[in-house]
Order: sequence, then structure tokens, then C-alpha cells
Amino acid sequence: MSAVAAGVQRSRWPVRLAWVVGMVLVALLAFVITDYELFRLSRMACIGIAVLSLDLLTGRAGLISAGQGALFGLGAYTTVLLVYHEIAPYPVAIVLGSVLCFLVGLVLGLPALRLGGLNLGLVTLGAALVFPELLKKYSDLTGGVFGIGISPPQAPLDLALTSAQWLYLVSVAGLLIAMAFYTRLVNSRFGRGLEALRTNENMAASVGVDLARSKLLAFGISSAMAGFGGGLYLLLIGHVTPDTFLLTLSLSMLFAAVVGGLRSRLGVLLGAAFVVFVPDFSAAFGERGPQLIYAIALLLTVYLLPRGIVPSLAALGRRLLGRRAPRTPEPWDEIEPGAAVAPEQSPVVDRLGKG
Amino acid sequence: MVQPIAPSRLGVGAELSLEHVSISFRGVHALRDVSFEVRPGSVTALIGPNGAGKTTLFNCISGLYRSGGTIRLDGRDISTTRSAARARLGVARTFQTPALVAGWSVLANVVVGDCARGAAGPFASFLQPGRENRQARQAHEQAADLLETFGLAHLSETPVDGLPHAQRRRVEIVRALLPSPRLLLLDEPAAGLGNEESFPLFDRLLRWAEGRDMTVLLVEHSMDLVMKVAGHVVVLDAGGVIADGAAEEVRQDPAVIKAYLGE
Ligand SMILES: Nc1ncnc2c1ncn2[C@@H]1O[C@H](COP(=O)(O)OP(=O)(O)OP(=O)(O)O)[C@@H](O)[C@H]1O
Ligand SMILES: [Mg+2]
Repeated sequence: MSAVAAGVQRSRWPVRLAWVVGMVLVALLAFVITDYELFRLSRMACIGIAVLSLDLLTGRAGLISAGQGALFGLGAYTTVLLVYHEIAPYPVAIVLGSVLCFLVGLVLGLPALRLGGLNLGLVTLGAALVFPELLKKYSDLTGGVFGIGISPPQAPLDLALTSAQWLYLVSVAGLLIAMAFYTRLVNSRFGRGLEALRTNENMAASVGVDLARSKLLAFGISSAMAGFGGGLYLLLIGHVTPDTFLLTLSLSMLFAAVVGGLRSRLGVLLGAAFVVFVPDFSAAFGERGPQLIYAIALLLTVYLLPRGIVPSLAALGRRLLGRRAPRTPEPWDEIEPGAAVAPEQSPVVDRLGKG
Repeated sequence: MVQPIAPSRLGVGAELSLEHVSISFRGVHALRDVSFEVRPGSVTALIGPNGAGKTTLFNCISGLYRSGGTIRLDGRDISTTRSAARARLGVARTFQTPALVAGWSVLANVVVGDCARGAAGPFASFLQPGRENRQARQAHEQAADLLETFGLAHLSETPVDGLPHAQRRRVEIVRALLPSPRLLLLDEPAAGLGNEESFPLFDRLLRWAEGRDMTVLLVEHSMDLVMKVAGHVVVLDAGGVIADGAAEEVRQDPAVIKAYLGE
């Protein structure tokens, strides 16, 4: 057996153990740090779910979305409305919000059957721009610019937890569920098919991957995940307005996924941490501080760590340890010379669009 | 010393028939009125000079291109069937330049061929974990067996990225074989190989296929190999069929010699 094979097999369970231990420590944090710090970490967990959902779509399936913040917002608004009008308790409301996002995601995915890359980015950007406007337009339902809120949920069963501690545990549990779901999904036959599709659509189709169906489902599932994160986020912040879900939110999620490193769960967490903590650190730079820092970090990453922080550093580590680091092409990479046909010339694209 | 290819007998694979298949790209006729039959269980070679349309025809048969005319698999018209559905009907192929998922191991690249065994829903692994796990295990075992057969077992955990071309091609062949296809389309599987390498490869392939229900359509430039393995040869030139018959006859055909062999 080759050294690589042995390495892969040996390294698996310590990684799992590290995750479990790490998560237990993370849960224990609830009893150590202040409620305000817990609130920030909880936000990071919820945004992490959204970034993870984007990683599923962009990192795995190679479909770019600049509108993930809108789905996050849709999940949050659905949850708040259902709870506010006492239609459903909050756990049910979050699930219903995710289901709604799944359906909306399927519709948003339709352009993906025809468009790829930049064009798809622009269409989804449209969704991110329209969402806050829709919230303002239907103000009878949404409370318009003033938004709508609910009181924060308390810990059940008379647990001796503050609301912040309880919500922190809920958010972390939500993130864990999302991570487990993501992991299982990307390792399933469906997930493998998505990655095949990202690398080479013709090859994927020829081994039996249904392109249209896979792309739509990827959009739906990713949107449902984002909506789930949004529902949890609503519990945290209690009150939402259209300004909570502006285009900048969608863009910072995309930024987080790319800078952290696509197809890396650790990268997702790092990216989410950026989104939450950078605005605080950068307040010193004035109002435009966060944007400035984002821009600089993005440029630095693109130049220095083109595959994102975590994968690039992992590759560096492997090189230092003398192991071979495989390179995986990004969705915006030029198509491999291995592809039989350039996709834009392939009638398969037209056909899927019409069918 | 070139190893001989053991004669083998394939089971009854799919019957492929092409009727007036045509396709053009911006006014250029890549295929015009191509009609021929591939008998079930045969090894048929598709030959022709560069740019004749061989790969284009493979793209039509596997459903990547939609062509005019009719393509039948076992008598059933699949002309409008989507590519993935054709894979599920048992059409498997390799690409002229191997198309593998970079970053994945050899084994993972082979196992993805299992998608042809049926549409995998995204929720299958959550709703029916037992069934999905069993199928995954089965696919991995079959892939391991095939890799063994094709002398790739020692590479199974190696990322495909750094592999030499010949091995990438072999990985693709194994991926195509994984779902036990009924029609196997091989696009220049021996390109860049000498007889001393390509003959053993085909020896393995045909031994593996012995008794299995498989039909092979082979695009190949090496006439040594074609004469060795193919009973039937179809010759394409400039998008049209110029000869179609038993290998020996086609070899003697003056039109073929002029268009292809004599170059
Ligand atoms: N997607 C496409 N767009 C435009 N032209 C195409 C496309 N696919 C094939 N062609 C054209 O069809 C013709 C046949 O090409 P094809 O690749 O099928 O030849 P081939 O017989 O496989 O040649 P080779 O032996 O070099 O592989 C060529 O003129 C090619 O330019
Ligand atoms: Mg060709």
C-alpha cells in the first residue's frame, strides 16, 4: 500500500476526535464567557451555516450565488412572521422557513440550467438586490422599514441558562447539524455527482449524473440550509428589518466562502468569523472600515493564497511534510483540456434549458 | 515481444443502430447521413482520418450532442433521451482526452461511474442509509476488483492529478466498466501506446468482458490493434461512412486505402 493511502486512512479518526473534543469545549464556553461574547459567537455560527450552504453550491457544484443573504433573510422573515402571529412555535417555524427557502431555491436555480459563472452571479445578485425592496413594498406583512420582532426565546424546562447561553447552544447545535448534513451529502452518490458536474459536465452526464436535476436540487438544498441559518439568526437578534439583509450581506458570505477556502469546513468557520468580527476590529478605520478590510483581505488571499486560507495552508503543510497536495480546479478555472467539448459549444446546455 | 490477445466471446450486449445521423456546427457538416449497425456482443471499430467525425459520433451516441436522424439501442429510439438516462440504459464511454475529477483518488474516480446504476437522490443517504451504504460498499468492492484486473490496484488511493496520460486513460476505462455497461464506447484507448502496451490492455479488457453482455464500439488509429480485436470495421471520412464491413474486406477497400490507410 502506498504511503499516501496509509496516510489517508490513518489521519481520519484523529480528525474526528479533534472535532468532537473541539465541539465539547465550544459548548462549555457558554459558561465561561460573557453574554455579549456568546452573542457574537452565536452570530458566527448562524452565518457559518449560510456560508456552508454557499460552499455546497459554489465549492461543490461550481454554481455561484451572490444572493445567499436573501435566502438567509427569507428564512429569518418566515420564522419571525410565523412566531409573531403565533402560527407556529419557533422550532417549527424555522423548519417551515427552510422548506420555503428550498422551494424558492429551486426557482432561483432555474437560470443555472442555462447560465454559468459570471452570468449566474449577476442573476443571483438581482435576487439579493430585490429582496429588501420587496420587504419594504409589502410592509403590511413585513412591517416595512421598521421591521418586525419577537421576544427572545428562553431556555425550556426551567434550565438555569440565560437566554444568550441557550441561544448560543442552539446555534452551535444548528451549525453541527448543518455540518453533519453537509458532510454526509457531499460524500453521498449525489454529492459526488455534483463534484463531477463541477469538473466536467459532459463527463458527469456520461456517467449518469442528471445535470438539470442535480443543479436544481443543489440550489434548493443550499437555499434551505441558508434559510435554516437565517431562522436561527432571527432568534438571536430578535428583530429584523430590510436593512439586515442587504446586498453586502450576500457578498460578505461569498467573500467568506472564498477567503476561508472552498470545500473546507474549517475555512467556512474562518470565513464566518471574518464576517462577524472584522466590523468590530475595523471600526477604528471609520465607517468604511469593514469594506476596506474585506477588500484588502480578499486581494491578499487571491494573490497569496489563491485557493483560500485553509486549503492553501493545508497544501503548504503537506508540502513541508513531503506529501503530495492535489490541486482541484475552481469553477471559474478554464475548462480542463481533458473536456471533450467546451460547454458553451455543447448543445447539451441548450437542450437542458429548453427541456 | 507482443503478447497475443486471447480470443474471447462477449455475451449479448446492446444492439446499436444509427439511421441517417447528421449534425453540423455553424454550417460545417461534422456528420452527414451516417447509418450503420453494431451487432450485439461484437467488437466494432470506427476508424477514419483526423477530423472525420468519430468523436462527434460518440458525442451523439452518448447524448452529449443532439443529432438529426435516429439512434436506436436494442431497437428503442433513444435519439431524444438525455445523456444521463442513456448512461442508465447501459451506454458508457471514455473520452479522447481522459476526463477525470482532479483532486480525487483513482478509486473515487472509478466509483463515480456507479451513478449510471440509477439516479441518486440527495436525501437517499439520509432516508435509506442502509441501502445507500450497501450500494456504496458494493461499488467500492467492484471498483477495487476492476482496478486489480487492470493493474491499477497499487494506485487506488493516489490522486489522479499527477498520473501519466496512459494511466488516466486506463482509469477512465475502469470507470466506464464499473456499471457493467451494455454498450461501451472507447475513444482512442490505445493512443500513445505501442502494441506491447495496447495488446495486453485489450487482452485484459476482453478477458474481463468474456461472457458478459457487452458490445464494444472502438475508435482507434492503430490498425494492428483494430485488425486484432475488431470483427467489424466502419470507416468515416469527412463526416460520412465510406466503408462498413468485415475487418479484412475493409482493409482491402480502395476507397479506404485512399482516404485513410494510404496517407
Ligand atoms: N462542438 C463543436 N463545435 C464546432 N465544431 C465541432 C464541434 N465538435 C466537433 N466539431 C467539428 O467536427 C469535425 C469532426 O471532429 P471530431 O472531433 O469528431 O473528429 P475525429 O474523427 O474524432 O478526429 P480525431 O481523430 O482527430 O479525434 C471537426 O471538423 C470538428 O471541428
Ligand atoms: Mg476524436
